[in-house]
Amino acid sequence: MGSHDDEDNLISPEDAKGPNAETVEQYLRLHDHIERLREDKTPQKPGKVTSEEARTYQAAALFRAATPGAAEPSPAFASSLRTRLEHEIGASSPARALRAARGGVSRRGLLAGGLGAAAAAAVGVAVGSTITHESAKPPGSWQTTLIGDGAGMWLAVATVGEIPLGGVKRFATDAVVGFVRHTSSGFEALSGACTHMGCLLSWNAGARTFDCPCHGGRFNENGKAAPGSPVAYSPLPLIKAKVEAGTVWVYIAKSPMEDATTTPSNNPNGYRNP
Amino acid sequence: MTLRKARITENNQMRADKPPEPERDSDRLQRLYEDNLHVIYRFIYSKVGNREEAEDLTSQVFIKAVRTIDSARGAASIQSWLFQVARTTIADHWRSFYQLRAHSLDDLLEAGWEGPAESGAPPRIEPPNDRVNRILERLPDHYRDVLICRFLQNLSIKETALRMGLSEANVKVLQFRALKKAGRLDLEGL
Repeated sequence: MGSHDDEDNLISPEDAKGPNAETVEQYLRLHDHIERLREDKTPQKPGKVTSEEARTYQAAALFRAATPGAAEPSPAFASSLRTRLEHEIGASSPARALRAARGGVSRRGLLAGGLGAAAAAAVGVAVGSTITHESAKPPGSWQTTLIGDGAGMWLAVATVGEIPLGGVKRFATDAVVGFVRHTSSGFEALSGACTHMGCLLSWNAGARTFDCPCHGGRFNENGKAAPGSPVAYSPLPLIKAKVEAGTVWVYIAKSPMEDATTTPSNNPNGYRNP
Repeated sequence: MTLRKARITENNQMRADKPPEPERDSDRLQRLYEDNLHVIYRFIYSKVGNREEAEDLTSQVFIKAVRTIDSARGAASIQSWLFQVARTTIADHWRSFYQLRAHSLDDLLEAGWEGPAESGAPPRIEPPNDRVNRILERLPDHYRDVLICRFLQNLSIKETALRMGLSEANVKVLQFRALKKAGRLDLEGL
């Protein structure tokens, strides 16, 4: 109370005089700076500053870091940087660098990586290997089918009863990860790998979207790019699906590990291929 | 049965496909990244105060680190080596941001950085929030209040003015003086 310290805090006309005079410009410049920080955006360069001014700006950064939640990396940033680092490591070996230059990703190399996103990407790439020609094309609104007639085999992935109308069920096999959907017109299946870089999507039942953990890609339940996706990535390829004997079957690439487990498909009941 | 076969879990699949490689680039990256992302990001954020620059600089640090991971062998720990990489990255950034001379930059870098950067002794990095609390304790009431309103509670100028019974112009002056004082205290390592 009334101490010298307190007077020092009060705003008096004396502050505008003397060798250490503060100017209104300085107040406003720092204020603009703080507001930029509060928006989490890069502030304007303050220009040539004295070290005292630099320390003032530093103090602003330090205190901004104390705003609750501000100084935590966002999950999207964390996973996208991890993906970049995976590529960085991959590029250090010539063979992998070559693959990277061609736009492909080494499944084995990424599997060896063992990180979550990389592992996810790797399984996606197993899918990707069958759709390489499509991923090279620019994003479009058309939707391709993963495996054409005759090239694959039918595999049972769910019973009809376990997926209610509107429900979505994930399935994973040696060759493919995908989702089976129960729509008003029957059962459909979609590839579960993001068409951006092959990371594995997860079903977001609340928003009814397929979300990618790597770069925030989003697809609606029909597999088309959804609002909120950073880029309108190509639609998810369809996987042929059918219902037979109370079971949902999907048509996937033949696994190299088995031979003739293909199921006869002479009765494609409920099978739709839009 | 085929039906059961199709239900192979993702994990099983990973295990089946994963070759028992002796090469453990991945483990090193795991340690490098997973264990240190948060602490390095927080450190960098406390130097720039915004997400855009923090993400950019954090990416630079980890990419540099991955490219030069072999040079980490001599370091006391991966983490202290990462902090060194972060420090030089921030210094480069500041050089262009503040247009300061080198020795002034050194002053700035020392803040919150205890102990020598020599090999052997890992530097002690004080968590940003501890520094903030230490500074707040030393500030006069007005200064402390305005910084608490503006930063810890993230209030606007208007809200702060209402809370403190000041004009908005006064709040702008007060936050300037408070940060100036805070910067001085931080330098003194109080």
